[in-house]
Amino acid sequence: MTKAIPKIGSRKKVRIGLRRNARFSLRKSARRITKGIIHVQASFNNTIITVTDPQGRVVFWSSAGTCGFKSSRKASPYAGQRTAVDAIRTVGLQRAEVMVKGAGSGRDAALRAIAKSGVRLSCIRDVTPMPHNGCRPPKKRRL
Amino acid sequence: MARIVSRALPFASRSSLRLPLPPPFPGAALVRSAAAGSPLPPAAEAALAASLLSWRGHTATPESSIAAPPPFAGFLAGIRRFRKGRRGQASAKRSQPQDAPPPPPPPPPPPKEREIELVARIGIEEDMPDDPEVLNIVEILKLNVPMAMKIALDGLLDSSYSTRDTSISDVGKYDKVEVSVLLCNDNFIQDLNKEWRDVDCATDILSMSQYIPDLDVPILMLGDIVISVEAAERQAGEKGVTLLDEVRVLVVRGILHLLGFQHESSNEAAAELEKEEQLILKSLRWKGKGLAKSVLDSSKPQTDSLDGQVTNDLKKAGSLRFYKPKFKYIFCDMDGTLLNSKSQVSARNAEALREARSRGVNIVIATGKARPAVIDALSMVDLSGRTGIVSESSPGVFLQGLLVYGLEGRRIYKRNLDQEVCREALSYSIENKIPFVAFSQDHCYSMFDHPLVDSLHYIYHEPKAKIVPSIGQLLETAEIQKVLFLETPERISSALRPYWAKAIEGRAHVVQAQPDMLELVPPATSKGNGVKVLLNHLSISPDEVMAIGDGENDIEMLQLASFGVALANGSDKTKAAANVIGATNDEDGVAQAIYEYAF
Repeated sequence: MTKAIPKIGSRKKVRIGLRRNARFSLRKSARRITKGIIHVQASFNNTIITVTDPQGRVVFWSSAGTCGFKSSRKASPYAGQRTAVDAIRTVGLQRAEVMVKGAGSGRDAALRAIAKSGVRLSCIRDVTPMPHNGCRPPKKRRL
Repeated sequence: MARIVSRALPFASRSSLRLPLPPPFPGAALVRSAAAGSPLPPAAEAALAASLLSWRGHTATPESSIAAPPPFAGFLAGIRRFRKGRRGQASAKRSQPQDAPPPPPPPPPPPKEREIELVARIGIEEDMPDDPEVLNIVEILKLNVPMAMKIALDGLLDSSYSTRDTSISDVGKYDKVEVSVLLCNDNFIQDLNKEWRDVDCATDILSMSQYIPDLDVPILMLGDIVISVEAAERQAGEKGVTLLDEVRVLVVRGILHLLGFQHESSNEAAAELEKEEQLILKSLRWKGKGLAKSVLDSSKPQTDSLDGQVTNDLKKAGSLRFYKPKFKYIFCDMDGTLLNSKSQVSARNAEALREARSRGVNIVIATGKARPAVIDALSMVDLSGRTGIVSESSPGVFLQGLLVYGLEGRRIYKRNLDQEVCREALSYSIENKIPFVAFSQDHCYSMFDHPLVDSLHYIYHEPKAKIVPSIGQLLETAEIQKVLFLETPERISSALRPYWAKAIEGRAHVVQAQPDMLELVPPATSKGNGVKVLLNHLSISPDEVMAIGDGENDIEMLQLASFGVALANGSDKTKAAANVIGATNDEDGVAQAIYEYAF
């Protein structure tokens, strides 16, 4: 059996809506599920991890910006790793599929963190599409 | 080009996925931060607050996530009405001239839930040098890219483009729309192009979509835009705009690609992309046209010298400081220069030519050979073909300047030898039994089946000579550019050269590129003249040209270029006319000249 993930107490946050139909709600920060899909969107400047249940409903999401990583010089692979660990520990996954999209620097770190986290992975799928190219440069201007 | 399948999911599947969600489902929304509320302001203050929020929404603020409420009709209708109001403000802004860029805003409070936050993350690739111009462009892009995103996203509801991928249609349900822009150099974007598109060459921009259609999170991650600053700098130099203007045009194109526009699938798609691009650039009043319009503009001749001056000023103002090659063109001879004594291109010369080409220097071959001979000689080191430095579609000077090919390999100059001179030369060779070869564009003709004629093909890579039976038939079938006599060096210098210099005085010219070959060419024609014709055609000045040669026929070319290199194995006249003397052709003189003087 997989090693048990240490239990995280549920965090409660209260929000007050601004709209006419606003209501006071008291709810947990994330649903805890044991089986789901992890989506990794790895761009060059940010990494977004989204956990859904097998039907596709979003349970939890996290991004490097949310974890506090900001830089205009480079995107850190550590940010991707931290994002992935944050997502998995909050939801308490035990079994998952992984869908990866993007070519950024946080991609490999996030995948490695997911692989090491103890979650049993049934498949890892790369759904990165073919990127668009630019045009051919125009002719030299004749003066 | 392959269509993006993951974005082609129909809208019905998305709505069907959301149908099982009951609205009061407790875990559907995530609460991550508390948002303090305030009472609703009156209408007048609401308009002012809306304009302020609309302005603040353009900045790249630190990320704060607010949970998306369960969707219901009133909320979506409110979002749509609010966005229509913003478009009116955009129209009002459009009429005002923007003389100065807006001052950088103070850090705003977290935006309210109604405003969709537009986040543009600008990054610099690690291997890029710390250039202040690039860092300045990054700071400007942090303000400009959200503006472009806003106009592009506002246009989605109105647009009726038929070829756009409509996966991304309504962004009203998102709290945040995010785009990632990365500025890099040519090496990085070439690696990306090779890895993800199987195209092993650098390009100016790559757009990589990150959109997942059925993921219901409050952030819309559009994707990546990777821009090569070196490619943008070259294109900015060609267009006569600054580097910042070129990068902004590329960013707009990248955003439109991420929203589903394409230009590779059909002409209609390219026209729609072009139309939307012009709309955005005009709304923002950014300099520069779309890439397709620049192609049309550059084909028109520039008759106004004042415009030329302004263009030159713009080029100087926007010049990139961290790297620029000293010359744009290198004119290179073949025999005795690029080819060694065995008539082969050495590996080091080939490597130098390849590196020069990758740094943006154009290599133009100026030789007495025919074009198939050059292509054959360079194909041994994989330098011919469309991606090489010489092909059927690249410029070059051949047959001692008698054939000049310009852009796309079109012939721009041809000069034929006089018929009477041809007849006299052929008669002389028959009487004295001296083998000759007649060059006619891409073919060679001879009347002798002689080992010296065969050596032209096997050693010097010239086209194999066709044997014709009579002089009359040869003169009828071919337009001869030059005639070549093959004889021993002693006999050429003692007998042939004095005779022909006197016999054809005024009607032809005698050139001796190799010790054992004597060539008859039309008068007032030289390789330098061919190079001059090509310079005029390519619209470049001699200041951007470096020339490498060795023979007497290269003297005018070396003098015409701003920097001439004569190899040590050349003639004394050539060395006297050059700026520097390089190594011999057997010591990789071309590579040494390129590494030492061109970079």
